[in-house]
Amino acid sequence: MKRLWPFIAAVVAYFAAREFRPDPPPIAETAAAPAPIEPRIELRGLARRADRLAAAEASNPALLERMTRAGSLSSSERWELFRRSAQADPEGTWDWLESQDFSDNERQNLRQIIAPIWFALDPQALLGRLDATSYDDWQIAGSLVGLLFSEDSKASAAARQHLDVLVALAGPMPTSLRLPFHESTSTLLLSLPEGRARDTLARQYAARWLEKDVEAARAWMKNLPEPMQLEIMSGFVERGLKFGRSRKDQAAAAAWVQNEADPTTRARLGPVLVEWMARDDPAAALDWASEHLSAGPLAHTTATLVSGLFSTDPDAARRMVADLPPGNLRHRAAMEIATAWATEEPAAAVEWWLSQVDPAEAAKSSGITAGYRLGEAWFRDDPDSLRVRLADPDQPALPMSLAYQAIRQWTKEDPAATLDWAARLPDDRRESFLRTTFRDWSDRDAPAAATAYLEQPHLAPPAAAALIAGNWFRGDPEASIRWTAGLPEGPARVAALENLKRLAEFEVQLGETFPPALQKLLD
Amino acid sequence: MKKILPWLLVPLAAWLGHREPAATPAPAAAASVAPAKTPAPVPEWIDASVASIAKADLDTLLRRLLPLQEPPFTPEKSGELRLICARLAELDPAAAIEWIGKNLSDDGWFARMTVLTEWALLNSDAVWAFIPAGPDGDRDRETITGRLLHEDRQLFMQWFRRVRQPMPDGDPAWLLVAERYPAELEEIASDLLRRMESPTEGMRFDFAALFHLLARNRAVKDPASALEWAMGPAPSVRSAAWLGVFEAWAEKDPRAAWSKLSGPPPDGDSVRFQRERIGTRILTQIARDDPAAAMKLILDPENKAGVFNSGAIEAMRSTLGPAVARGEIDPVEAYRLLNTAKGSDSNLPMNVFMKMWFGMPAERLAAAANGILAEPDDRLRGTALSGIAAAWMQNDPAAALGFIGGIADDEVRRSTYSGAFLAANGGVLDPLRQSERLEQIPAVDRAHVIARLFSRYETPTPGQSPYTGSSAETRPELVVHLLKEVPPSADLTRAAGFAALKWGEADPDAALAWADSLADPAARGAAHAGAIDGWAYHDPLSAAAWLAEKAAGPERDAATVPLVRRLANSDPAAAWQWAAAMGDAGLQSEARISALKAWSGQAPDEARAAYQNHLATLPPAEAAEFAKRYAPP
Repeated sequence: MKRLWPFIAAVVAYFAAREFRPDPPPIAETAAAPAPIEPRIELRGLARRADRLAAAEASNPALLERMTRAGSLSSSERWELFRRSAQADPEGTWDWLESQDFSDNERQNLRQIIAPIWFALDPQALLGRLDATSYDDWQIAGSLVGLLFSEDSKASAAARQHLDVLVALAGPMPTSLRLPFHESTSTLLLSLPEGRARDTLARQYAARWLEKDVEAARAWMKNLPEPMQLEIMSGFVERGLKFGRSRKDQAAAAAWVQNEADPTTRARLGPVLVEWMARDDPAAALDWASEHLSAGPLAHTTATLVSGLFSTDPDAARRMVADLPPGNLRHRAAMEIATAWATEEPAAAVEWWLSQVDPAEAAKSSGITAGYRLGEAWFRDDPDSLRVRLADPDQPALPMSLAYQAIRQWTKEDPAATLDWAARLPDDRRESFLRTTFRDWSDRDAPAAATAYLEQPHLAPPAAAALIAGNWFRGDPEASIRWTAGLPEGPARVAALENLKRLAEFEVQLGETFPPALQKLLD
Repeated sequence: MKKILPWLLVPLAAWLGHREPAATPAPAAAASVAPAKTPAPVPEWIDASVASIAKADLDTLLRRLLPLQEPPFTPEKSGELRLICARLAELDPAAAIEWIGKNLSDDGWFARMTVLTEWALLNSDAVWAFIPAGPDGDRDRETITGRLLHEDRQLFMQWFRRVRQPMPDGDPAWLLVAERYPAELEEIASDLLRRMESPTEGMRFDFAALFHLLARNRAVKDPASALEWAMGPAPSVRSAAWLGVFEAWAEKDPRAAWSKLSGPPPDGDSVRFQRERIGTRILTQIARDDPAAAMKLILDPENKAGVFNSGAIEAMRSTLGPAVARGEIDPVEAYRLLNTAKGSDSNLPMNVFMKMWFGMPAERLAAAANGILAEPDDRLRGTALSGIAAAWMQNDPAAALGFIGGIADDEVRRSTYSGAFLAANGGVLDPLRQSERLEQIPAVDRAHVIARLFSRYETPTPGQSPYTGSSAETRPELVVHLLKEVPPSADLTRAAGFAALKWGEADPDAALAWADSLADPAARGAAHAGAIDGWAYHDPLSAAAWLAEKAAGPERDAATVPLVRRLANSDPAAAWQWAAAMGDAGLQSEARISALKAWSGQAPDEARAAYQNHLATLPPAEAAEFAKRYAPP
């Protein structure tokens, strides 16, 4: 224990001495103290503006996103930034733009900024990126064509060198081509190498010049191939006859069609000319049409004239139709009158129309045909009288084209009642009406139509079974096949199976498999 | 001595305890933080401009505005104007505005607004007080508020609180404002809504965009709860809010957004178009990362997200095409992926295959064409090859034509030619360019393409309206000369018939003259038949009159068939007579049957009598054959 005393005393001495130690010296200034944070200088006024302008001056694609997301740039400043980025790296800027979620409008505006810059640096790279199917890219290519007339000789030479591709890319819409209207353009166009690009540009340019000065433009056009002159003139004349600013312009256009156009062009422009002539003198217009036009153009023209006459003298118009030869020439004219008449007196219009057209024409039932339109007008005007007429046993059956719209609506409202009504129709029309009713019903609710069919098998025509099975097959093939399997042997079952087979084969063409249950039934 | 030594430790310990503590070393200096923005080198023009502007007096500066109003307007001019306006705001903004109003055209609107904005940045209250009350003043305030958005967001909010215009647009600055002042903006939005619904106050402007912004901002943090919030406001702004949520969600987590998109949208159809747009955007984002996943979603039968096929098409086209172009996806893999839609009723592969190749380098197109040609034969393979060829024709026509010409299979080669030549330029063909383009196709394949040209919208059906939907882009007179060198073939016959049909409708004389010029008898017959068919549809009597002058022979027989079909609708007895005058027994039989079909519908007894009389004139075998082909109803 005695040996420990010196050590114990040393420990006590250490801690006692600590109590009396002097204060530590201040931290040496030389120690690495944190650098004072420089207060942010809030620039104001001119200095602030200069600073911001400078920030937007330097740009590249890597900075674009950061700068645009920062929200400190107005749209015009963003555009300017974009332009600078395109100058630094057009391809990178284009790619960046493609990856961003801009609106279509903004994207196109920005692409329009990059395109001329990129084109000047690497025309082929840009042209390789344009899409000939895109309307937006047509516009870009069209504006690049305008570089032909640029004062920048490098840009102009590049446009000239790649003109064929540019014009092809500019699409079929000449309005996308940006040609300045100037005399120097006339000279430059003729100096271009012969070919598609020159022709396209010349056509567009001549068409615009004609609008300003017919004589001068035609004199210049003599430098162009004759078929092209004809094409340009026919476009100009057509616009002139339709929208000409003055009576004199229109008369000049009419004279060109009558005296200078070749027969094919005359046939093409004839309807427009006749429409113009008819404003003053319908009889002279008809005479001209009869003498110079045939087939489709004559049918079109006659319909226009008849329609005009109907508004002033309905009886004369009807007489005129009755005197027309058969075919579309008469059908089209009759349709014009009947559809106009049907807005006032649909029943009378329909009966007259039926007396004028061939049965095959009356039966046509697509949405654009006269029968469908007349039936629709009658149904809208007075559905009850249409219902009575459709069922009247003392009058010949109306073609189904006139009844489609009504049956569709009645079936929608009350299919069972419509079916009962159709079942009571005279023999000569009952079957077609039942078939149509079942078709519409099964289109909306195939299971219900199928049940109704089985409840009145004596009424239902076999073709209706095919329609029901087909409509049901599209929504629920298995149920449709089961229903068909349950049909008694006979024409209805045969028709339904044939229709299902046809539909299933079509599905197979799309990659589906033929339903085994149907195959079993067919075997 | 030994005993003393340990005691020496005591003074040593006392010294150690008493000595000065060593200075604590200062913590290592934190690495100096580089300014976030490396100052951009100031372009010379700015330096020079600032230096001269800073020295100039008010009058000099105002006069310097004048040339800046004249075109051309360059970025440098615009920059200089802004610098001058900034300085004017420092010097005497009120005087500057007065001078601008008197001396600049259109009252110098742009310069005035720029001075006012610069002034507002220096002394906002003064500008507020300076602007007069009334509609003109309101417009000025709105403009300045809009400009402050990009200058100083705190100041912007001071103005926006009072002006409440302009409404947010797609500018990214708005999101930053919304992030910083969400509660305040929501308060403003609610107040606007309350005032709109108030019968006495009725707001006149549309502020749905504000709800769109707020919803978007909420969705950045928590899309699910943002969606809940978006369903809360009045119906007039709900759709916008709903859209805002999904826009943000689409960026944050497109797959989650897609799954939520199939939920019920607010107000039924009112967001249908936005829904499609958002759906397209989400799919595009998914497809960028994982095209296969996007295809899976598109083909999912449970997909009820309201993205119609057009959206899916756009998503896949805009991502797959560029990915293939960049070499990130092998074209054959892309082809196989899209082909997984086979069997569905989607028209996606067809549409994408037609368009995805544009803008691709020629060497990638070559790889795609050769790779896909080696894939198993398939309808969609033809579509893909057509799309590639159309794009290839654009940037390397010689190589494209070389590839197509080298396809061994006649059918594939011809359909690829058709795709390349008939699908270019967005599917719209310039009629005047047709002939020069089609001339590039070797004669042996050309007729196929020309036949497709005339039947690309519809294939004419005997007896029906010819070319009801055809466009002006198919002009027979411009292309028929290209058939002259074409060797006889079924394609030539079809092409001649289609061209003549269309031409016969417009200008039968010209069509028939061309028909006469054809060397191949089959093509000549088809052209006569087509021209007469087109004419007789409109005017069967005139067509009959022309044909009556034509010498008997194969062309006249061929043309009589359609004439009989057309004439039979109005005068079946005359049609029957025409049929009887035909020399070719097979064609005569065909014509008689078409006449009888029409006749039996109009006058069954007469038709039956004609039928019986005809049978009586035929040898028994022929009579039996005829009876087999037609039986009176």
